[in-house]
Amino acid sequence: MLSAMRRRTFLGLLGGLAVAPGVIAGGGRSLRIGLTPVILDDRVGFLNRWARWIESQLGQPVQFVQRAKYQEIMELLERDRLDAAWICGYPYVRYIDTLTLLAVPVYQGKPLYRSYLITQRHAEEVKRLEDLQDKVFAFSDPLSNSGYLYPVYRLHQRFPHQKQPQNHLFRRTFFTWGHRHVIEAVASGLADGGAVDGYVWDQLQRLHPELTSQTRVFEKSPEFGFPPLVTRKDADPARREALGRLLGRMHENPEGGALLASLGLDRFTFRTARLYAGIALMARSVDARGGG
Amino acid sequence: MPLSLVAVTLLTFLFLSLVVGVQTRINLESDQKRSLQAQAHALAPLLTDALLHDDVWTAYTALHGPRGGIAGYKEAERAPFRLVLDGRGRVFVSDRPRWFPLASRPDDQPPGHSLASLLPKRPPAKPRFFSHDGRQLYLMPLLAEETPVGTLLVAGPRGAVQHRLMEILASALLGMLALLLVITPLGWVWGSRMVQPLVRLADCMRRLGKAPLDELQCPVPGGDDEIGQLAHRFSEMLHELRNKRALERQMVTQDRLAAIGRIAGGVAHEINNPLAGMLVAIDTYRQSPEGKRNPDRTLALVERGLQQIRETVSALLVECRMEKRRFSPDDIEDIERLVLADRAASAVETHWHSGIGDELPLPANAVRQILLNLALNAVQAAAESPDGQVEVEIQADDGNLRIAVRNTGAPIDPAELERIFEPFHTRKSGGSGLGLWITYQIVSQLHGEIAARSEGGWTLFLVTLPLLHGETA
Repeated sequence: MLSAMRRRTFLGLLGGLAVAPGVIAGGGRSLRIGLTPVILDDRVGFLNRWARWIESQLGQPVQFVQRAKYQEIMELLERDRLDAAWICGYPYVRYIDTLTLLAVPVYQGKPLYRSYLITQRHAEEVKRLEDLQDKVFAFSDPLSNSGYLYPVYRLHQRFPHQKQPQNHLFRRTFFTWGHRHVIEAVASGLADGGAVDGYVWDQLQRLHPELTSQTRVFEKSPEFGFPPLVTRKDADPARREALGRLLGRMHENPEGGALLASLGLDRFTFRTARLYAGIALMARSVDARGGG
Repeated sequence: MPLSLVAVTLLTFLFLSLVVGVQTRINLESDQKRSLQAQAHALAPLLTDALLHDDVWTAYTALHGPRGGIAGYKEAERAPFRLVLDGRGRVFVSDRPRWFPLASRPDDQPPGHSLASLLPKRPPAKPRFFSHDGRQLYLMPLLAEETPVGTLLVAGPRGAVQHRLMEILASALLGMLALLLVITPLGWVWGSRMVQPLVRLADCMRRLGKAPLDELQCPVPGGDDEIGQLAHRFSEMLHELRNKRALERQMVTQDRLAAIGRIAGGVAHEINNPLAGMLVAIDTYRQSPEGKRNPDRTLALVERGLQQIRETVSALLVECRMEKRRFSPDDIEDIERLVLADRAASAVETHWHSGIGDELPLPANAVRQILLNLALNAVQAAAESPDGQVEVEIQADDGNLRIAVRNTGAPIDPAELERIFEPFHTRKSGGSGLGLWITYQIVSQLHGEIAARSEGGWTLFLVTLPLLHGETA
């Protein structure tokens, strides 16, 4: 793995020097892009194809960096170990001072998505979140908007006097560190309910209907800004611009379009922080109560 | 024989199955215990960590695997499971969340989970095995720096040992049936090949003594084994018997020829003597003028010679004349008186025992002659020994008349006994040698039997005559 990576670095260096001088400045280092489970990050074959495509377009080696928890990716960003990362809107608004938006996916015509609240398929009696009283509830990640912030905010609204309403309503809560795992936890009966990224649930229903069919969406959140790709504010502008431009034109390229189709996305677009104002509002509300 | 072979095979199989079954059960149980223990100790560090960090999902994936762990079991009910309890005995995680919901005390569960009562509220001090509901279970404390933070329960599949045991025994049974299918015909053939020669040999032995020896055909098997040797010895024995029989026949023929020679000699002798006298008388008549003057004397001599020859011939041609008179007790008295009149009788002690009280359906003269001949012989034989004794017993029973005549005279050796009834055989000087011959002929013509033997100082002649019921005597 390591030697393969070195070889790729070496080839990329050669390519950068010989074939397309000046396309990308500062070309020796590989481009490191952090991924979080805001997408189905376990599709290794797809990620390899995508990395190779970016490499071929930028003439620079690309490495996707995956971690189990959002927090770990955020720490890598903070320590400047990543050139870019695809994160959730919630950590973006939390670290908005140091981060800048690179690109925002367009999903079903809009750069928006929802949080889904799901339960076991046969739990007919569950119609609202409150119906899961004294049950077990699975969150995806404490830094996930759809998988944590929204449902907690939703409970804050319902139980205004509870500091940690999730612990008040539910018998037990736990984190699965991934939207897909939330669905698995609910499907297996480990949890009675859970909160997931609606886009991930939709994608899983397309790819693994046997898993999602064991769950049922009983509540959908309002629309929020889709998890964006971000960079550090102090990132090399040329690199950022090159990657941003590539993503923005991705849907125009046949192979890029196919990759987007595989992700279930229309294209990437460019938006301002205003898109995440709703998430920022919820985050302030929840953080103010110390419920994070 | 083949059946017993099958029985032995079956018995062996049953015994082996029992031994293998018991041993397999022990092995399977100890294997499973070891496997449960290994599993528990492999999981323990990760689970302890997850417990300390309250990380349910990590613990769940460790127990369950990301995509379900009951693959390979037809019924989820039978599949193995694992359960982690927190320090207060509540469910932290399990790979059967529907059986053991999170954060519940197993006691809370509806009836059916009888396992709950066996689970401790606090982590146990030491690991232990126990059995429940057809499962083997291993219970161990989860220790963080020697401090128990929770309990791990690893349960083996339900009925796994029995299931495996049944599988093993079933395949053993199949193998056994296949083996029986092969062994039964083989055993049948082998057993038949072994038993058949013995049966033939036994059959042949049964016929020995019943069928004529020469017609006895015994197709017996060869071979070097015990049966072959037995058959060989039997063949040899048959051969010896046949040789012996042939030798006996040869001896009988020789004896018969010898007897004929002796009789011919006797006849010739008895005829030659008077013939010689007559020829001398005729010669004397021719040569002597005195003789010619008195031919009556010569004729008388020739007549006497011819008379003697006729007596001899008629004695040889004994004919028992059938007569009307029956043998009666009076005849016995007559004979007793006649015997006592014999010269020799004076020196002998004679005892007569008669069991006859009435007439018997037997010709009187024939029986009288038998009795007289035997009694006189006995008296003459006894007279030659000191203190000679003679005993005569006459009895009738079972349709027979028995005459036993004993004397204390010189015993007769067995070789002589064989020839004692031949004509011209005599033990006395001056005897004609025809007395016992005549007796023998009369007894034979009356369909009776006569026997002689010497033992214990006595010589016995025994005559048995069948009574002539319904016949004209």
